[in-house]
Amino acid sequence: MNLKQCAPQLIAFVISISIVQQSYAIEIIVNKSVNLSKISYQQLKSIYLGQQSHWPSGNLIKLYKLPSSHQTHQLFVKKTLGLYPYQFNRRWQKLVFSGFAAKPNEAFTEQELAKVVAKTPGAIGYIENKITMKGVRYVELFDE
Amino acid sequence: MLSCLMNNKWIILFILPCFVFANEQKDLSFAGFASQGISYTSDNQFFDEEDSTSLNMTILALQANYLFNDKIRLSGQVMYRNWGKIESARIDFLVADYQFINQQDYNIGFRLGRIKSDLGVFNSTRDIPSARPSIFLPQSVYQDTLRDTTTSYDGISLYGNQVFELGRLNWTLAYGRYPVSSDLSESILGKELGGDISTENNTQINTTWESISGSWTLSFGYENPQAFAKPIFDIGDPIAMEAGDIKFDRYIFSHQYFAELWDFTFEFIYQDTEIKGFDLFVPYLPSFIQQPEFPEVTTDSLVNAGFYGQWRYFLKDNLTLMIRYGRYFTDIDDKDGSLYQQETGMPAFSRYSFDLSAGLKWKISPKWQINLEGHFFEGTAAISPTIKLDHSDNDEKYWQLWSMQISYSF
Repeated sequence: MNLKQCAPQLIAFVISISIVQQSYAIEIIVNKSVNLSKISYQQLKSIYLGQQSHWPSGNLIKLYKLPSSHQTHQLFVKKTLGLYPYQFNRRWQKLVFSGFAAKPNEAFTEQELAKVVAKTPGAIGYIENKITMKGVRYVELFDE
Repeated sequence: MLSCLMNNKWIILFILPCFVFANEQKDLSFAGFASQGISYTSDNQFFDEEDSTSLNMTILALQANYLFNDKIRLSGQVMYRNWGKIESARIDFLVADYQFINQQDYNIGFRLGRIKSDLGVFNSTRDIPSARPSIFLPQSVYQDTLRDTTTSYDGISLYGNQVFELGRLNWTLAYGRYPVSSDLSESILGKELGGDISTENNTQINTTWESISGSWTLSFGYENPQAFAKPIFDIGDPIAMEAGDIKFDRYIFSHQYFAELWDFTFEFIYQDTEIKGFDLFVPYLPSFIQQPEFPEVTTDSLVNAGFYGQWRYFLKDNLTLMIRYGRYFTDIDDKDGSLYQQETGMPAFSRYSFDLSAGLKWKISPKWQINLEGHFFEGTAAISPTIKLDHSDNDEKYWQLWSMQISYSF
């Protein structure tokens, strides 16, 4: 088999991989006041594990999440943060009940979450489907 | 100046009013829980002195979290606890938190006030039903008898986290004093001796390394709490003691591994205990009568050690099975207590304890939870006071503890 022959297969293979990887699409959103267009996975993890409370600019981070039973939340925890939901829940139980971090704010639906992020300075949240909304900035995730 | 700052309750009194002068934003949130349990102890006095079956298992806690301004976060928790022999209401923590360095890869902050001790995996949440693995924590590492010297301290801590290529490092450096209650007196001195216990400032170091994927952690913690006892005795007391002090050098090593359907925790404690003073005597004995001979309490090299391994399996999303085995030795050089028995005539099994436990945690709803568990013990070391003269209360080598608890949290 020469290269010419297998090239289409190779391309198909690469596409299928990227489709698998794109099969979930969690979007990270921040309030437009947050001067950030990219964020690293690890920094996002620091924020969502209650280890970082302020943006590098010094402004307070307002953390928003969906309810623990929400599918998008579970997807976010598993795929984006790379943790099992029970790890995430336990971490927060510990942080809140030992006073080490403030409980994240909760929005019941993605629409509602996008709305509060849009109007809360310093806010960060996540949604599965892009919603165009004034005041919300989409942040690209990158590996360091 | 630092010691003046440390050595009192002023920090607490300073932070409390900050809650009152709340700003206009709605940056105040509350959380809390209530739990009630029942336990049955087959023998020995681990829990309730009066009965083998006890309902003295109530914990109520309410906490507030408040953003004082954009930089400083305040949080506090009050807790009522009626746990076997001990009933108490206290400020569990009350802390001002200021994270002053925030970068992509690292954050540094400090806390001031009454701060929860974060030594070991479960110390900071040892009373929180939703955040602990079982009703009774593994006594081989988290001894309830010494809880006052390990719960929360009045002081200051510097903390941070840093992301590296292979993982993240969380660390805490702390300096403060554990406020103690009179219960500690009984835990250290036993019921036979009266005493007033106070504590000294303590240094704590905590580091946790977490793999980049988050699937395992390794932690190391150290602290050196110190307690002083002033004797209290009366005419007619059969026995009394001179003033004394106890120093602990406490090291805890922890490992956790997380899989999708189970997790595993291993912890090891090494505690170098130095006991000075505490010479025993019969008070107000006329000088022409010779004092009887008492066992020597002083030691400069008593090493307590303990470990446990715990496996949790998630049977369902809301149902967790826990199996745990742990061992604790009062004196690592005399693991079976035989030397102690020879020297003092007291039971060898009072110097070690092995604990096999199994439990279920059932989350009925996001707010309600039921715990059920059983413990099979051999030995009584984990439930005996540090200085113990009379073991007649704890005279069974093999014993069991069964417990059930229901809790509501919000």
